[in-house]
Amino acid sequence: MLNLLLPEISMLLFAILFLFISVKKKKGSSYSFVRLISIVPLAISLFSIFSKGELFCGAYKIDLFSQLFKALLAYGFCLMAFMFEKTDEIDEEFLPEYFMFLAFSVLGLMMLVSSVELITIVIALEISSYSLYVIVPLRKGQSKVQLEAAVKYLFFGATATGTMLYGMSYIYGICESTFLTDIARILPTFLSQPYGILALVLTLSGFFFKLSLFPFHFWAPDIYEGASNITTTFIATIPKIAGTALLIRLTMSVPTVSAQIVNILIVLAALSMTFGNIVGLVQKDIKRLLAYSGIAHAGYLMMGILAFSKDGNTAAIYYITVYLLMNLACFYVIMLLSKRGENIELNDLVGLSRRAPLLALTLAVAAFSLAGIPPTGGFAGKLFLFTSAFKEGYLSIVIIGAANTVISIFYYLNLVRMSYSKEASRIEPLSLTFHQKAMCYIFVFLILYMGILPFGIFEVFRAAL
Amino acid sequence: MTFGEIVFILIMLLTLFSALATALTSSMIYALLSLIVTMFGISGLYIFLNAPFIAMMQILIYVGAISVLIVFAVMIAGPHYLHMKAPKGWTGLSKILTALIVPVFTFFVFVNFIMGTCRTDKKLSVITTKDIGRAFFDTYMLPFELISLLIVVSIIGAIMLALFSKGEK
Repeated sequence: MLNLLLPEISMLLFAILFLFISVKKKKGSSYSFVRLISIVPLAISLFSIFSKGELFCGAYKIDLFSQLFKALLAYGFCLMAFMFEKTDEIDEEFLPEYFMFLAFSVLGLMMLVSSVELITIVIALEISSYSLYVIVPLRKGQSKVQLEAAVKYLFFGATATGTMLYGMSYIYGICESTFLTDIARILPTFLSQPYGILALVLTLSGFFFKLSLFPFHFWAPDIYEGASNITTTFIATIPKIAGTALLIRLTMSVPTVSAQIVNILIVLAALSMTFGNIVGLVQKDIKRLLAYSGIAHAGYLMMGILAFSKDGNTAAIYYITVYLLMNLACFYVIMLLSKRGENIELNDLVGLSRRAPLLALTLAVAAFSLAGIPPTGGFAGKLFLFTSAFKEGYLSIVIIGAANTVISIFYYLNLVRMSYSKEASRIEPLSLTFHQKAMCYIFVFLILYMGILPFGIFEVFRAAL
Repeated sequence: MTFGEIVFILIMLLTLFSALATALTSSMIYALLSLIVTMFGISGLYIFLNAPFIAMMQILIYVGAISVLIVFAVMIAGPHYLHMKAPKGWTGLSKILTALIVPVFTFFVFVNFIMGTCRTDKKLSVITTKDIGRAFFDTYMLPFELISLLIVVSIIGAIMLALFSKGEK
């Protein structure tokens, strides 16, 4: 039984290790130590990718789907640990606790992708959210912005959880069970009735919050702006992977859906894309810009999920993987640019190609990928999403998505234009260490790889469903 | 009228009046005390609904924990906040209107939703505290254990944030 839980146990031990380090009198946690041991959960989750089983009366399911997402989560966590830089962002004093909470959050998400029972889902989600609520205000130079962000995140998160629990109570009322296997049997007969639609949509809303889909997006820009760069990197990427996993898990458990549910999802996806892209056009702070881009991307992602087909779900998994990489790349550039942990404005990018050509290249590749321009992973991901929605006959959302892609190109390419524009007033070269250069090359390689040779990875993801 | 019905009506009246007192009194402490009485009344309603476990939890959590928390908040905030002044600029009518919009709207929407659903008339079985206890250590073992992890995370987080805000000055 224990060998099935290896990834979770490794993550738990990681957290406990840092709990002990945080108790020590003299705190000197070195970054290379964190980097080194963050590989362990990744290695273990890759090692146990083919394990299968059910635990705890069927409340916890271990299959290729869950193990794949665990590996993705561990991979994102590992990349984040390698991105961590010794800037003045987080108080040195709270670093062990910071890593501990990150690990707890990933642990919660890992449990989330394996749980197939509603109460377990809620509690796993809360373990991950509580850890994030705590680390949002940890930023050096306390100001009102980060405290406001923390309080907003807490309140919005609590409201979203409440909404989700409300929906789940309806599902329990309909199905008289909290296990997804029973729900899959009974719920479909109610899905054309108002009661069932209300139950399912309210339940999904908790994950819409994690993905920052349109009516649940209010938190994203403020929290991105208020939290430190590294915390934002985490919030913007890793919880979204698990949110996608659960959306897929919940929609997969309902084999046939009614047109009403699909229509609701289409409207949400369309509003989310349009809103995110149009508001993104006028942003000056890059983190706020990425927040609105995240809202838009949640809309694109929904296109795969609302297709309710195997291809659609595979496309969604593929897209969230690409999304992880391109967002990590963008945030890495931001982190390297902000020497004292401050937020980066669009104007700070001016002359980046002269100061650090590699950073400008990384940003350009990431921006091209976010916009969905051919040789990058974002293009392949969008192509899969659009074709899957098109195959199921949802032409309207494909057209809206395509129009939105065109709108979004403007502000993504604006990032590139800024960094390659010539009129730089101050050119102080930004020297990168070997580690930083290597990270940039890795990001560029992975994004391009996922764009040029997508089918191998796509088949792997398809096998998991 | 049976004895049970008389008790039910008394509990209802008690709950309603103490809820009104909570909303209308201007003293923080009186509001808190009437809130506690309201919570007791609601737990009485749960007993009438054949849910003794929820009634017990209601008393433990709301009367026992939440009200103590509010007392602490009042105590820390100091005597200055004990007597709340009603915010000006709201007329009586607009107060009533705003108070009514949300419940009326939700009530009608939900009644419509639930009426639009056809269900079977299945007899619900009564679930006793013993069943709940069994479920905790049987079917719902994993969530029950995970809650301990959740509590650990929140306790450590609270302590760390307290230390963090101490270092502010």
